Amino acid sequence: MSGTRIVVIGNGIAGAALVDSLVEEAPGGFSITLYGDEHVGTYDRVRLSEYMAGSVGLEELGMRPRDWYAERGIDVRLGVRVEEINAAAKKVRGDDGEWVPYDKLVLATGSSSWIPPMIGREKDGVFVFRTVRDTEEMLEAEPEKAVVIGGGLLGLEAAYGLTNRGAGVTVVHRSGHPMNQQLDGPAGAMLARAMGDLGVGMRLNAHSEEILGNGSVRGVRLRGGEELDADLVVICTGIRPNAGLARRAGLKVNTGIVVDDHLKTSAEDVYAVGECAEHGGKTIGLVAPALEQVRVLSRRLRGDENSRYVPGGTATRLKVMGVDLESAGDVYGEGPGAEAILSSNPVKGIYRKAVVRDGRVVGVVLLGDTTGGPQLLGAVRQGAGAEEYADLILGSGGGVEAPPLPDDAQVCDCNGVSKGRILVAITEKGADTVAKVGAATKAGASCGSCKPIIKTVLEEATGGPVEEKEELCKCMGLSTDDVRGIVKQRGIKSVSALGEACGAGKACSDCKVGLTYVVSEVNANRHEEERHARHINDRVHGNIQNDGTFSIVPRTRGGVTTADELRRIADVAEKYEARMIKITGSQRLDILGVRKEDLPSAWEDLGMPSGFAYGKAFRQVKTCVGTEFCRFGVGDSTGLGIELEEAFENLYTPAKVKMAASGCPRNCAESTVKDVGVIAIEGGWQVWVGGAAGMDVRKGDLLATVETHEEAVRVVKAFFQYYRENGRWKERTYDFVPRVGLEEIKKHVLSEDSGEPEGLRERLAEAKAASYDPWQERVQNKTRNQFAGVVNDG
Amino acid sequence: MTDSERWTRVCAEDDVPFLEGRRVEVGGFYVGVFNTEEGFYAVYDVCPHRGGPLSDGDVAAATVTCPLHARKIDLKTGEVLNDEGLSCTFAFSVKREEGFVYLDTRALASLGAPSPA
Repeated sequence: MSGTRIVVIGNGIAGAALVDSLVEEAPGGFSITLYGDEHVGTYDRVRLSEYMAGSVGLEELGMRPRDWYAERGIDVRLGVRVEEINAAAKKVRGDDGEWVPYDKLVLATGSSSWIPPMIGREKDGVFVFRTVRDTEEMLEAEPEKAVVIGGGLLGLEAAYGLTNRGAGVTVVHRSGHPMNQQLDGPAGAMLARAMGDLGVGMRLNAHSEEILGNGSVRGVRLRGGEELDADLVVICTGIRPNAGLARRAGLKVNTGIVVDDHLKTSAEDVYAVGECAEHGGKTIGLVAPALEQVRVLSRRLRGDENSRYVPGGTATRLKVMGVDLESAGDVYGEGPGAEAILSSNPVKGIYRKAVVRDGRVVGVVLLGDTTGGPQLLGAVRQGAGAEEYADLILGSGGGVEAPPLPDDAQVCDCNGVSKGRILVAITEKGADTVAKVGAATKAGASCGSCKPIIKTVLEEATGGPVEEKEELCKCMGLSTDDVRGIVKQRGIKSVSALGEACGAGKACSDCKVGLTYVVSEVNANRHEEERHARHINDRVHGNIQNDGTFSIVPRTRGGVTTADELRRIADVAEKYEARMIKITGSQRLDILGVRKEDLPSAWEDLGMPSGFAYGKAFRQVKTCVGTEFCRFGVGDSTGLGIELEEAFENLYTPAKVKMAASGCPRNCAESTVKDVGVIAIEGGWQVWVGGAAGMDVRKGDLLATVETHEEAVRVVKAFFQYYRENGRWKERTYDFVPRVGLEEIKKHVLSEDSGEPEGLRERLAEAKAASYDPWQERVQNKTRNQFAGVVNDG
Repeated sequence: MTDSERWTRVCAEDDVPFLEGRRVEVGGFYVGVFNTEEGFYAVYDVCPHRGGPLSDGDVAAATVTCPLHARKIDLKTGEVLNDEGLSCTFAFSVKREEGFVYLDTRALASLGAPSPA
């Protein structure tokens, strides 16, 4: 391999992106050696913003398989730590002992969590928070009282998460207001008040001196002696550049490795990028400026002498403590020559400020109302004249139209994509969704915070609202309806045949379960069943638990059971050493913690059918005791519930379906927040659809009011099958009903004269006839070793 | 080490249905054996994320997706493909002979973690 010899130290985002850029832009032009000490978790900081934006991952920047490097002639040394740089002789030595010479050296060593000196930080219950995964594990500790040390972005995220889990939280912050990097004093005070409203306490200008407790944490002592009780302490005090290697090599280091506008360090032919570098006295902690540095350096290494890094354009857009926030540039505007355009409404929690210097916008803070955010952040990046933007700051809520972004405005900071390039993708490449713009330009593909702007640009360019296409198979870009069409047209009977026909489900398993649903539904359960295209829950008919065991929920129709069934449930739980018996929210008994190999005999002992408490399927009908017992009952809700459960049991659906039957309008079975609910009224029954009381809460829509029990069953059957045939994969009825529209649904399921409802019921009966209680597979297994624990032979 | 010491017979090819995985035990460790379109693979049967049983996962091409939290593992290398922060699970060398599946168990010594009970 010929070309300039480049050594890159660090395989985090900056290092990996630089290598990508060099091999992409100048294939074969460089001979690259890449060192990656895998213990440095530089990826994680991106995952946080990804998580906050609810966006996709950074696969394209992630760890590459070794083959990828080999194919490109890159000498990759993962797990090797560079111990020494000899800048005079232009060579480096890793802990593999080998000296590797370079023409150009790039340091991309990233940063580490910084923990202030404090006593007791090794105690149990002390977490150092740097990643989202840290949060998850922290939340599992279920603390009652928590102290968060550090009131920056990370600290507030941690505090918000803990508060939402019911912990009492106090944030200890050194500065006079939270998020002092992104917010000025008044905005910070407003945010602190919003936190107070959520019950989060705050100690400002406070220093933690000691974490108290004997082995485990019991509190934190502040300078001055105040003690805060806590059974969990989170340290979020920021990051510090990894500059030790550079310092030992004699390079100039302050906080980070000092670089000039060309990202060159104090040594000849040695460069630094990303979180380890310090430019203009500042280090960075976000992805976007790191990648901007990488682009600048890549151009420089490819011979562009004019390539310079200009900092400052980087924006923060996020929701913190439930409050929308955007900020960029100089948010304080202190010192001579700085003025502010300011609009503040503390009653509504709105604060909008632009800092102006020499007539140009140099900083923006928007809190509580982020109208015009993209334009204002663009103005900071370009140093635009302030006149145009004054009204935008002041006119929030007053109907002031934001000026359209200029074509050269950068929309995606992470990948450096301008509005102009997005417009080209829309007009010339037919990208008509945010996802397709991302595929064509990489805009929005990293942290994802610019996706709302991409959507605005799309709407501006296409002149209408943009509907994101639902995708069942992401690899092939096929929606549920696309797949339905293919299955129907070609008479496909199995997921494998579908894969041969259109590629869906071949490259990755993500959509296979959905494909199975469509194939089975279109074929009225007369498809060729392939168990590899079902989730484990539907391969062994139980719900997998966090320890790999399964739960068993037998069917007790309408929530009605018998003394004899209860005895058997108790016996099974004892015999198979269940970890718990739990009464579920849907009036059933759940036997938790049964080993996979014990499932068939447990079902045999129970002698009850599967309750389908797993997978996307009809679950159960919750009932009240109705006229049989209740002195208020006006309809036999128990009887109707059991009849409905018998009608739909063992049937799969696009997403789970829960039903309820209430015997009077007191609605004790909560029928209005179920996918389907019936309520007895004087002289008849109401049928409600599209309700939910889970991740979303939605009151159902009244589909019909009918006079008899039989009519109610007929309406529910027609609706159920209409949803089975038209619902998108994983689309609950509470999304399906508003999407299709109640009137449209009524047209199909109520207009008996058209014959359509009867057709729906006939197809339902056909599917039902080919369904069965899956726990019967204990007798005749569907696959070899279907329930085996281990399969070793001999 | 002789060839027969190196390779341990764990199961018959038939024991693992096409496009599925099954668990075997070898040297005190659980290992997931997978029958894929690209051949048989075997990885340490513990997801690097939260310890899920990979042998109960969903298989396509040469990947398996953990049944607990959908981390996707490259069966050739043991790498997690959709969570960069996680380390690899261990990928065993596999050979097939006369209808049986053998694992290269030299690597067992390097697997320090105990088998999940």
